[in-house]
Amino acid sequence: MMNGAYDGLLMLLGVMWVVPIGVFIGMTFGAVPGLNKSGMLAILLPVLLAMSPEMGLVFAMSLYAGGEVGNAFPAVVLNIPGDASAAVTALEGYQMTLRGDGAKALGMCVMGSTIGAVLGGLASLVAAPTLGAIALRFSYPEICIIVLFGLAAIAQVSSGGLAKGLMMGFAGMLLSTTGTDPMWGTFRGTFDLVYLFDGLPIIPCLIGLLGFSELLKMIEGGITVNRVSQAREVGLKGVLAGMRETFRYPFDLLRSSLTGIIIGIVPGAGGTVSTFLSYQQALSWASPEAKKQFGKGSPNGLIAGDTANNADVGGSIVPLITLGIPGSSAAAVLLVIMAYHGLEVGPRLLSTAEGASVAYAIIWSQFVSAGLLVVMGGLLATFAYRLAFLPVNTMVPVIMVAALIGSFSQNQYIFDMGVMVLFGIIGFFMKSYGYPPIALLLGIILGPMFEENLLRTLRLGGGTPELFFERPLTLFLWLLLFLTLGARPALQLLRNYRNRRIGDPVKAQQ
Amino acid sequence: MLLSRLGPLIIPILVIGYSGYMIAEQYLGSYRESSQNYALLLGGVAILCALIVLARLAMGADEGEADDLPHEPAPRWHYVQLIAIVAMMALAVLLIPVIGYAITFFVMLVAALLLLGVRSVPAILAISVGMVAVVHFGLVKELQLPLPAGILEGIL
Repeated sequence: MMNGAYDGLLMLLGVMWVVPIGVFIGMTFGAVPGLNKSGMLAILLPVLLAMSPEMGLVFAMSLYAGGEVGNAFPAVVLNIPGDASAAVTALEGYQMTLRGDGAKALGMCVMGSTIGAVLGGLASLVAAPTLGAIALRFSYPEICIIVLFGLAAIAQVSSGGLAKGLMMGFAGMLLSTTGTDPMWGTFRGTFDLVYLFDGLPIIPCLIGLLGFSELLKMIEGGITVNRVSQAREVGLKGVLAGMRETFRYPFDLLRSSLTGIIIGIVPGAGGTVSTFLSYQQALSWASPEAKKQFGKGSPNGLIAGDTANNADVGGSIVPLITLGIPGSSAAAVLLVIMAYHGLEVGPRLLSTAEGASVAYAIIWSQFVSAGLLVVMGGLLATFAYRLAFLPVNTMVPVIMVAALIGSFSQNQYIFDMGVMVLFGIIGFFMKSYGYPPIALLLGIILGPMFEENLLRTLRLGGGTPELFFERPLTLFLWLLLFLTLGARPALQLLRNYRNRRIGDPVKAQQ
Repeated sequence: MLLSRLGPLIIPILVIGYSGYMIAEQYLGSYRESSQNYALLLGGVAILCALIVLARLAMGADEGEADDLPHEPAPRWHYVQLIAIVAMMALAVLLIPVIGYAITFFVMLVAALLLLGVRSVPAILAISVGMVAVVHFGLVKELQLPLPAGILEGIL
């Protein structure tokens, strides 16, 4: 296997020139709302297939890595995430932009993504076979509990009060049932509209709830003044300051990277789940003072999301190269390229000389991409942030058009543009009266995966939930869930009790 | 103002209405042919939480943090602009399949810029034409995004 690693490195050196091109194109595509990574790779598939296998795969990995950073730019600057995995970035990063720290937010996104990419690459380099074996242990009940981690954040991010948060979260999960029943095949909540037979389109909902509703709030508040005119640090200086500040959160970086890697190796989980799960973990483990910042421009939350979704890239190729099972839809495109060129996809890939070299070339390319993410990402972020300084009354119409196009891009239905406008109006009322849009989004995005895995688990268990409590991995995940939700409050209660006992009423109240 | 009194009720009432519809649809329309208990669980909890929110609003005890909520209504002109922008977007969605993206986006951009106070004709034309050009050459031609050309089909 070490021979394969060395040959892979040599193979990469021969095609390394495609990496900067891939990272740049990936970032540019990623910044277009509605164009997700798998869509971008699918569009460029003819180009990827025309290249040699190592060149095509390395180029595809660079596009994938660049796309995970590019989706942060419109999220931070315009509150329009490039795709669903940047929803957390929009939630926290845009709030930082409004208080003048947009350049810093972009710098943190770029550096967090880079660190996640490096650690994800390390994990795939060092522990690919082990992680592949772990991936095999994950089945429907485990994936269901993993999604529960993300859904648990609904209660934790309820800035308007628990009842409001739970109401919107469960409403979001109910909205996510729109479409076809996964077990019975009947239509639910479609109003007989053929456009809803495949379910509620997520990107238009995202753009409407976060982006268009924010435009409406800006118009309500008056747009004669540029809301970012009090920016503290601008340009490259601000971006570099953000990159340096990222290193003040080492535990968030490590925990988020680990979360991204673990979720990445689970086939079908995807970058969106790792982003929300990492955000929920950051929220659970934050101090009470830091917790108040979540939803209002929290650096912890921002770093958690961006680090995880790039670490997820490294994790998602592990089952691909060890088992032949793609860990994400973008990894599925890599599988297509490998199969097209006749590589022995599956557990035997690493046992052949050519397969091992190609696999390790892909793994090594992550480190090169990571280095370029810092350089190119920093420069592009500087340019992207300048958009925030354009007069708001000229930006709003341009963003309106961008929002319409972004909504159309996913399924190419005009209907989805209407969905975006509708959710924009709903989001406006939600923001006006203290209902958290992120809770609704969590329900809409994670609901389908939760329902599908829940129903399959119940089916396998003969209609009973016994499978959730019989398997060792599920019990471990339940323990982890209760620890992350309950450990901090329990520690706080213990501390308060101890302070009361020693008679320090001030400390007991904290 | 009517909106400030009824506004907080809109979302919980929407949630109750939608949840009730989804539960009824599956129990009445496809009983034993869908996962109706799942809808009942989700919708039931959503309705319960909505009723709690309505009760708290009725008692005058809002759970939201003070700085989350608006304190003074905006000037009436801002709401006129807001409604006009939403109407423009809705009209654009309806007209794009008929008259095409190029004309729809151009007209929408000009109208929105004028509504939001931009008065410089060169700026309006530059932004409108420039944006349509970016969409046409960058997205439609290069990325093959199939936006409907409408009455300009065959020309664009």
